[in-house]
Amino acid sequence: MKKLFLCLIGIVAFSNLFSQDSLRMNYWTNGTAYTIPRHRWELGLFSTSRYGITQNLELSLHPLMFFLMPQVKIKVGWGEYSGFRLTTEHGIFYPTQAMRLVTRKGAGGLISPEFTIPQMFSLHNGFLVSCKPFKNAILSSHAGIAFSIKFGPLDKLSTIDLPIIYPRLAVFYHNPEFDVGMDFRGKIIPVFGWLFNVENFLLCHTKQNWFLENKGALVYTSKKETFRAEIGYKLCYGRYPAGPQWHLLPALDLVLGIK
Amino acid sequence: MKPLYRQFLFSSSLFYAAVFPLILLILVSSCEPLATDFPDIEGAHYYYAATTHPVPDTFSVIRVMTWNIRFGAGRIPWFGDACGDRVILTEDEVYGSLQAIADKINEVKPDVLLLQEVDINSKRSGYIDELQWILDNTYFNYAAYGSQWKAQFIPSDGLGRMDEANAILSRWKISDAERIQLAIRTDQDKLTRYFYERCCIVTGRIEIPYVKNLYALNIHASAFATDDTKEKHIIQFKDELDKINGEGGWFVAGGDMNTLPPGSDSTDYCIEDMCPGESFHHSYDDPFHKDGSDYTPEKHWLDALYATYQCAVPPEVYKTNQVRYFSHTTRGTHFWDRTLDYLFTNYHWVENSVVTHQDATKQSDHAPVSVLFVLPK
Repeated sequence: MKKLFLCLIGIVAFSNLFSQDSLRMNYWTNGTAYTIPRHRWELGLFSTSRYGITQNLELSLHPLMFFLMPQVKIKVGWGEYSGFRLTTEHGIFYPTQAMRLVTRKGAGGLISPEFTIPQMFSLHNGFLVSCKPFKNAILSSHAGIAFSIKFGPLDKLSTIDLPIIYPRLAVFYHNPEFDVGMDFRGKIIPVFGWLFNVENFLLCHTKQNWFLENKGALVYTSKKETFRAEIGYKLCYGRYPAGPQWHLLPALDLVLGIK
Repeated sequence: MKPLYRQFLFSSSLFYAAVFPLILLILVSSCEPLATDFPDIEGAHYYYAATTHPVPDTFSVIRVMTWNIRFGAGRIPWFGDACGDRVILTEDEVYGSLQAIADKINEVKPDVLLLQEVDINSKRSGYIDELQWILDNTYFNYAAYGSQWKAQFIPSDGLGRMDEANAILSRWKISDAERIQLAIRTDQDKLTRYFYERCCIVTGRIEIPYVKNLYALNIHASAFATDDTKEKHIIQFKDELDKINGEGGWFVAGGDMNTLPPGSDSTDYCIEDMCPGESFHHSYDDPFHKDGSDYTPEKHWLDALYATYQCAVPPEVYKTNQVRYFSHTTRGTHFWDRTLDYLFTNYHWVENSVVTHQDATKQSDHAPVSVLFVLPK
């Protein structure tokens, strides 16, 4: 039963990392400086779920992962200036329980049991700017900084040297971590669109200081914007402790929109 | 003029149709599998020392040595082979062991060195390229290696990335180096087998001036197989030796065979190797023997090798004083208690020149074995 639970958590966590973002001009705005409308829900099968608290305030979290690896974000819209929309994002990430779950002997042990994972969390703050260079496209850029706070020593050898995971936990080993990137998305026909984004993670005080992720996807959105499906790829480059590596991964997601 | 929307549609479709597949093609070809499977035979990887060291001009004998260096773990109680709880070593620990290994090599001064368990880029040993480090900190000029256990990420016990190799080091250039795949274990479930090591032989021609067709072969046979995999490895090893011998070549060959010499007094080490909490040899014990510690069924597996080629430690010499040739123990605080490391040739060893360097107790759980080889004229 425990193995089944671990397996489910693993699938959800990994799929969550593979998935992301959205499309549609008005609603599917994750990754852009637009917030979703007030009282609208977006429930992702793999990606984080979002809720519009007000027209300019959005809450996001992953319901399934919330009790294991909670990551809560608030997105605040600050309005539009000369065609550029500005929002800020503020989040907290607590990976301790998830990391402890995979710190084990035998199969499923991603971290050696000789290491102790302390209580720790990270705070992320960033901003996003979006504009519409074409009628049916949104171009966004973002930048942010994350700091970690640890309540005990974390051995530098306890890293999980895998794409997607390593750069998101790197802030706990190399403080602070910067992220900067761009997102470009648009429609081909009303229900089909495309998405292309690039994310950079930059670390301080280490040779393993640069990680890049590029995602490309085709997106189907139902006419009433109640359902979205994404399929594409995620390309990752990183300067891992073992040296530079490329990874090419599938990216897919299903999202239900309510309201 | 087309509407902006159509222009954009065209350009984005073009982008997806032409550029993305190209990027994908390039990147798929650059991605490595999670765990590496090897062909039956492939070229080995060549390494070179940072600076070239001079080689003696005139000589009639060379010293050959074999050593399982335990990936620079020294005698640290590693979880996989020593009842320990350590998995990931620090850089300081690994460099400390490597320095002790290099010191011993520089003291014994072999001309051809067969190393087993050399980590190339493994998380457990701090991602240190141990082969390059040993090359750069000894007098060897050339090396060739083949990976024995290679996985991008092993999701068990925190092992992570693994690249463990068998290597041949030489003062002289190595050519025609190959990695020969040995039989895969059949006594493991598919998932374990996927991430597990794939034992191999590494061969190479040692380009000593005026000596034609001298080959070095390095084997690391299975340690823990409970089926007939290890026997297959020994048979495959002899087949390779027979091939060289049949073609008129000469060889120095050896490595960690993970089995005992014929005529060994003790063949069951379950009790010696037993970890706290384990129990063996009782009717209720399952397994009855510890995996890899009972050599009793293997008593005659080396007979054919001994009968065909010259072992550095001839059987009659071994039987007179077995303890002197013990080269391994699993217990970090104990003296060597069995012989697992061998050297064979189809030409001549210098009589009584073999040394099991039992003083090297800190560097590894194996002692190096060296012997003088008479060069064929």
